[in-house]
Amino acid sequence: FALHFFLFVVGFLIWRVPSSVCTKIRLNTFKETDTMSELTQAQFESSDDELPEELAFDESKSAALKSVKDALDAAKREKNLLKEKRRKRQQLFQEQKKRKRLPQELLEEFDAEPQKVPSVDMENMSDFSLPVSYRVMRIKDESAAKSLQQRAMDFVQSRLYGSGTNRTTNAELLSLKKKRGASQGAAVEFANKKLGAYKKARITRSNKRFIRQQKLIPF
Amino acid sequence: MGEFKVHRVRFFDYMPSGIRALAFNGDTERMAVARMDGSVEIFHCSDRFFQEKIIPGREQCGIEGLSWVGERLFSAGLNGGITEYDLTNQKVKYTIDAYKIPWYTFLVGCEDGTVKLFEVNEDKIQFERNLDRQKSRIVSLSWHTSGSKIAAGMMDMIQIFNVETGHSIHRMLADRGVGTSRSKECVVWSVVYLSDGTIVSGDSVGMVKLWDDQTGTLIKSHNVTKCDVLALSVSQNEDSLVAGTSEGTVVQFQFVSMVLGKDDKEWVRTRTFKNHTHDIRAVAEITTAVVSGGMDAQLVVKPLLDKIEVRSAASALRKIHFPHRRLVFCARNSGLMLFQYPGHLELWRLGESEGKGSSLFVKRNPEKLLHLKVKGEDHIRCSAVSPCGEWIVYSTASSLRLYRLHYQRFLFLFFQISKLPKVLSSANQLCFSSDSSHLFSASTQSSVHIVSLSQSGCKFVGTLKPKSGSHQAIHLLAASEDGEWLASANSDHEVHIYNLQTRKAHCTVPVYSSAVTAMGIHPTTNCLFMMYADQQMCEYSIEQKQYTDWSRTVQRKGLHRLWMERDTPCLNVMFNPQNPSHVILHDTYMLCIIDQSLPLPDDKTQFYNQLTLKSLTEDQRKSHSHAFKVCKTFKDILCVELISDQSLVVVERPLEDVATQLPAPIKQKKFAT
Repeated sequence: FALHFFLFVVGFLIWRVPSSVCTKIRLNTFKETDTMSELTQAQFESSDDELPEELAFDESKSAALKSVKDALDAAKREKNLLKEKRRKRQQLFQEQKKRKRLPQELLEEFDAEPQKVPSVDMENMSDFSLPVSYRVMRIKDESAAKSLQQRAMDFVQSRLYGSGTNRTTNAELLSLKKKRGASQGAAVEFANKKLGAYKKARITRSNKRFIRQQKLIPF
Repeated sequence: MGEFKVHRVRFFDYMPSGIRALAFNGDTERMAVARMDGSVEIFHCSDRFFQEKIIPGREQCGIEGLSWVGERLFSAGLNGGITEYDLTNQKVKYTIDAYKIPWYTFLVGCEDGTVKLFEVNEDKIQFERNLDRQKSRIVSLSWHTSGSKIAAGMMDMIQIFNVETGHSIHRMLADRGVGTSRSKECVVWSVVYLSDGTIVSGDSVGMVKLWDDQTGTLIKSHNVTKCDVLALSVSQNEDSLVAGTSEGTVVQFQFVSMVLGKDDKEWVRTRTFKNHTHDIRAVAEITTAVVSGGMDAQLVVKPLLDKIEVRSAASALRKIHFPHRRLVFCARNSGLMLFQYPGHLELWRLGESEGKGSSLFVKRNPEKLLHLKVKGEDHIRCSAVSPCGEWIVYSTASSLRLYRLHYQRFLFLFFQISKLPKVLSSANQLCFSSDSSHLFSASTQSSVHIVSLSQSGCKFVGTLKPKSGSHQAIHLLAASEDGEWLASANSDHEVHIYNLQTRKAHCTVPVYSSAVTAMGIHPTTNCLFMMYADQQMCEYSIEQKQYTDWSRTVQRKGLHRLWMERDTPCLNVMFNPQNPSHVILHDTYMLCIIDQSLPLPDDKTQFYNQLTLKSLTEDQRKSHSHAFKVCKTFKDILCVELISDQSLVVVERPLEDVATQLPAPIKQKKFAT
């Protein structure tokens, strides 16, 4: 009879507590510092002869709310910590930047100076003549024309070799030829020593490194 | 026959450049080929496709279109210029820097959407006007034969312009592909405007479409491939059309009637040729063959067997991989090799070996002594190294540079001779005398400048001019061993022989119908041995000014059928000092020693008889052997030279190694792979 009653009380307890706190309670049972778990523990430990203690709803509510508040506080603390870290890093960067910059005086001096346009001495223009192999060209013209050429080249390159095209490698092509050829042989990367030599060398080096690291071979 | 130690050299990493454009001149039967590095080559279609002229390119130069106007050749490049070529002197005549014009044809269509018309004058071309500007880029153009209309292939559409008004008449929309390619624009890579008003277009979806220009609608659409159709070309009489694809296939369409006898003709897909491994960027149809070229850098000539009457050497498939000029030079007396690349020169010292047997142990590896980069942007046109190995010279289209070097054990001295005579501004061909005391430089007007070399530098000695004849550029020079004679061969098939003592023209060899591909002067008899592009050979005695008896016998008897059917030209003629009756020749696939003391083979004898002779006894051999001893051990030979210690140097460039460095090919799914 008492057992039955006890169970009923426990059920009642759990049912009356809001669900969000319920989950939290479950998690928090792993933590040592939690009053709620102590409560439930105490609940189970008490003998089943006596009436269970009247656990005030307010107490449990406050315990639950406290745990929620603790969690929120912890989150806030972490945020503040990160903020501090970021602030400190930003300060460090500023200091480094200040160190790199020219001394303040020089910068002020440059600001103060008016912009002087270099004047060409027009009187001596007649004496001046370019060597035969030199040409005069505006930088603006050159770069504009080049970008058009570059655009054209990029267009052709992307349409023929870019994404969406079904390309393979020359080694693959040659290996396939060998496979279907009259005298069938191994793929080109294995038969031809020069091909893939760079890749093979890299692979052997990384293998050696791995073996050394794992100490697979004594000494 | 003789035992030679052979240095088998494979460290010349020569990479040919991909072919970008083809243009056929029907009147002169010449095919102009433009490559990705800006060089232009002229092949003579009826002379076994011999590469007559080479105009070297420059750095950062790309040619997008090539066009003949009469006998003049023009090209349009990505750098915004239209260039006319001086074919006599084999160089660029001038370039119009048409600002804001990158490319295409010569009726130029532009990246910014305009079509510019140029007028061809006597000596120059001139910008005439613009047609209406369009929003999308113009990728390809074609004139109508009447000259009044132009078809332009653009992004997702084709437009027809009226040349007079400059306005667009019709706009034809090309379909995009299905599935994933729906999101990409369809690029109409090439258009051809036929005289009956049909426009043929090849686009990036892999369709060849026929459009009607009166109504502006699609007549027929052929799905040729899954990838792009990059090039189109129509034959002279407009009854055959060829399309080149990204996969390396060439598809032919012919204008025939479906029912025999009936007159209603239509374009029907007939043949497919799969002779390339990489993208085909240009196709052209000549009278009897289809010529195609692309990113795999080989020029393929596929004869159309329905146009050929007789089965001959001209009816076989021809693939041209390597240039018909020497790129490797040897300093005979010092074992040094000079490799000519477009942008630099490399000097190597041959290795040493020891032991006996068919494959000798390498005691010392070959080493690279010098890597000389060209100053400026032009590519190297020709170069040479002196037999003693002390002088190196190279020439581009704009400059010539001479270097002196001294190599001895651990000492390597190298410096440039800065003060050169003014005449040495540029050369078409360079040659050192056999004692390395003089340099011969072939220049304009088929003349040769002689410069003497010494410790103090170089000095101009004189100029050799032919008595009469053409002004075409010289492509071959040969100096005699005793320093008395010099022979020069030019692109007009003229061979002049000069006396170096008097510095005057001595005689001229009778002009032959085929071009000279290699020549050499015999060290003792002073006979000029010449090989021609049609595989004929002849020997001319310089002192007696007539053909030798041996040469007359060869002409009378004729050469063996298998010799004549070889499809690559001989590029070098050498003589063996220890055996004066031997002449050593090579082409891309074989090495041959001709023994002039042995009888010539006739058509019934076994030509490649080296293996058979091995199995016979000594006496039997004597009766069975003939003059041509051919060795086919070496493949893809670029050069064979005999150096002073009686060893042969064979420079091979395996095509497989070239193939591994080409641009990426399209993936093709093959059964059972």
